[in-house]
Amino acid sequence: MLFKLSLRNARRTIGNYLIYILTVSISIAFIYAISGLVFHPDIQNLSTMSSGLFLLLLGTSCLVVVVIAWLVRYMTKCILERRSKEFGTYMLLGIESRDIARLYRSEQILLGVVSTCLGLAIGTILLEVIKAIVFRFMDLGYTLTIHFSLKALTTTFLSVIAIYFFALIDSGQFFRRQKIVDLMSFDRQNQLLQLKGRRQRLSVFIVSLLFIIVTLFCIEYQFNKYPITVWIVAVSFVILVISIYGVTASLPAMLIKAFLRGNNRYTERVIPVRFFNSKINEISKKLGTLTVIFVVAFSSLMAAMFFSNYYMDQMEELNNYDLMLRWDDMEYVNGVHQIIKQYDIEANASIAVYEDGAGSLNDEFKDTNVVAENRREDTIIGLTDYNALRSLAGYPVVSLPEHGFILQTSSTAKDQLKDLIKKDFYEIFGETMELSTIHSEAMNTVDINFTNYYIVVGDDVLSGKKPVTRVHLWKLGNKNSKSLHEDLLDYAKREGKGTRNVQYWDGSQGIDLAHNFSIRGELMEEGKSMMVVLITSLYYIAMIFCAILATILAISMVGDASKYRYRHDILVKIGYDLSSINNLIRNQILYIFGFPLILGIPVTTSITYSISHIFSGYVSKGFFLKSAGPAAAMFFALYGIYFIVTYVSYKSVVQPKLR
Amino acid sequence: MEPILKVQHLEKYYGKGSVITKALDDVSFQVEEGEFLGIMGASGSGKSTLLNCVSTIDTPTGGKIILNGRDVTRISDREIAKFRRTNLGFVFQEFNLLDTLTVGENIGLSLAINHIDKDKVAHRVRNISEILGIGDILDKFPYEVSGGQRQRCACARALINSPSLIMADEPTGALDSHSSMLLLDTLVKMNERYRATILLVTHDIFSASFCSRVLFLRDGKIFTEIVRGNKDRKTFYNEIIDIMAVLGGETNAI
Repeated sequence: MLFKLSLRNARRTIGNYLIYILTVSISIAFIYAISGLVFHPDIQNLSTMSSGLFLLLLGTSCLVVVVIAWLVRYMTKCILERRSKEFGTYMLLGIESRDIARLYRSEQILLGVVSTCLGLAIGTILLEVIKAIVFRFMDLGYTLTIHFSLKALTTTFLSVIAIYFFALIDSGQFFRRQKIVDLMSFDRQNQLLQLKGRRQRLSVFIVSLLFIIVTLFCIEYQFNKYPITVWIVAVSFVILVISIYGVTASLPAMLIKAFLRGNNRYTERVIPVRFFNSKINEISKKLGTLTVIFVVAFSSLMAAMFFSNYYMDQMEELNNYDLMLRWDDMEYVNGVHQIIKQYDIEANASIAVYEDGAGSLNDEFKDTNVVAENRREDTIIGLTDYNALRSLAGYPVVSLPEHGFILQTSSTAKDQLKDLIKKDFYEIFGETMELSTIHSEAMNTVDINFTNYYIVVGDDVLSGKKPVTRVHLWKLGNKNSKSLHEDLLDYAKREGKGTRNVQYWDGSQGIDLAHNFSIRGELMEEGKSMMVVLITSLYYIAMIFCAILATILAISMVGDASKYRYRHDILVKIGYDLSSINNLIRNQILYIFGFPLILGIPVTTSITYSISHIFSGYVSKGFFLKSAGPAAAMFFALYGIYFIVTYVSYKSVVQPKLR
Repeated sequence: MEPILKVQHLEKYYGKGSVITKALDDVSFQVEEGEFLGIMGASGSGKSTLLNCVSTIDTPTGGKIILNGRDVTRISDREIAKFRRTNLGFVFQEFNLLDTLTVGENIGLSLAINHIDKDKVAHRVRNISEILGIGDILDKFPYEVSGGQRQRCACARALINSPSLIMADEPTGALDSHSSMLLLDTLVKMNERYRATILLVTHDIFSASFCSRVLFLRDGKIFTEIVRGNKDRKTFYNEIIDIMAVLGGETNAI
């Protein structure tokens, strides 16, 4: 009987729990997809994928499970409150609290089963999407093969059990603790409206806001200098989080002060301001957490987007030369050339690299991450060699005006260099020369002389100068980088030159090619696994936290719809028209959804911008900010879905009464 | 005197086919300007349906309701909100105040949504609240004041717009006897001092005895009506009791 009742209740309430099912399904889909990825044989067999990286991905999954468990607990508590009158009636009819708790648990488990089934269906598709992206990153062949992974299924089921165990563990206690009268009057408990100590709250607001500004400046300063003082950054973050709570908790008082000063309370704006104010006053303690969740979600998304863009750019940058060798001994180089003949040499070039320790361009970059610490030499190559490099990479040749020079850098660092260059004329090898242009074509700039830029001058400027080294480049028909590496290593070992000692992940030691060799495939392979795991983890965290943020707001708003429906009834009775009511509902939801962003967006932008200084020298500020747009688009797409669902659900509860 | 409200052959049916309930069956009456009209009847007699139809909250099945020379049953949905906020004032049993707004803001709300100048609204709020004895609680929230004060706040909100008709639906239902007395005095004051036309729906004989005329409904039809005229309130009260005894149903006879 009780089971039938719970089945009927769960079926009846599915429509009301749209947001609940949506969020739990998305979360389960992500857990399944990530587990499916981690346990995929192709990924597990990757030689470059270390166990440490697997642990990172699994650790992220564990964090996500804990956070979702907390969210489900929060949502079930909201559902309990919303249906308190119904449970009170059961008690009134003489059903024991133990049986009601069992009924409630059965319902939640049924909803959980529905969400899990839906989650697994979405997760199966999501896994294929993630696999397609990751396999593309990893240069693994991807074919669409929808199949269920037993390990992933087991992990997902265990996660779901853990989530629901944590969420429902003390639901029995709830029913034992509550009196019938409390349950019957739950929905009559009004939002706490009184603002005690309004003046005190204003002081808290101003002080907290000041602290936020100061800590953000402090974080910016720390990440802009070298080395970073870790404890100052840590303390700044702690103060920042506390200050966020301070601002959000004191904001209701501030809003009243700003919008309802004097007789402004007798204007139409009093309705949205008071409604919004009472809502944020009610959830003021949560607002700090919501803002922090937004910061985590949005910065993870920006970081994920940034790393993806960076990785893609790096791949392009390293893609044009199959082998680069920095070596002066031509006999050794000729030996290498003989070895790689079997790899079908399509073209090759050899360029001379010069250094000028007295050049003035370097002055612009000192104390920045563009150049290594204490490096005072500009790297210079001649125009003929530069054009050889360009031709090899498939770019058209260029010319130079008399006394002019070109600055070559990578596309990611171009804007930063542009910002740092203040003058038109610089001293190069004692000659005053004018900057003609900055080029940023993908030409593996860093591997020419381990710097982020080099100067290109007319060949006449270099006559009589001695190069510091020579760089030899090959473009090959056969792209088997693994085999090329083995052959070159054998040659280097035979010659006793061009090797280095290395220590592997498992602690064993060995010999590998020296850094003078740059093999295209290997360069792209380096850090690839780490990037994939990092980017996947960041997207994973971002999506889950975004869903959590939107869910808390949505549940909170929809829960209020029936509780505060009478407000809209009153407004209609005193002559507020339906379109104004609809606008009011839309604006209320918009304000509540927008609130965590008011503080969250500037804080996130500031923090992520500060952290981006770590990559200074490799990427420009413009490149970093480029990540913000797509990140925001992705965030608002998911956030927008929740906004629409909330608006529709809220209106469906409120509107029947308005007719 | 020119009637401000004319109700002609008003009908309101619920249900369809063979299961039709006639909540209002050919009801006709009129209300003069400045009149304090009571509508009485047992539960299910149709008094709340009548009030809902007159107040444009519900639509009648047939008949006409002419308020200020305009048939409210023919007003379009787009115009109805404006008509309601300029012509009607409401006082309900459950006060129907917005708990998020202060007492002062609640009173000024109907003017604020009419976009009246904020300083004028503030002035009128202060005036009317002083007259109704709630001038010192304007900055308090409804849950911080007594039930009687809340109901006087609702009266002030209904009156501030100088509406053509004030409708009070069981306004003393949630009040103790002292607060009820204060509220009824307030309604009389509104009627006498501002010549406010009031339509009071109640099943409480004591409340009805404050009216100048009382209409009695039974099974959706007007059963009878009595006029107070120059009679004192006690005599009028006894007359109402007699009619209610004939009508049957529950009353709050003291």
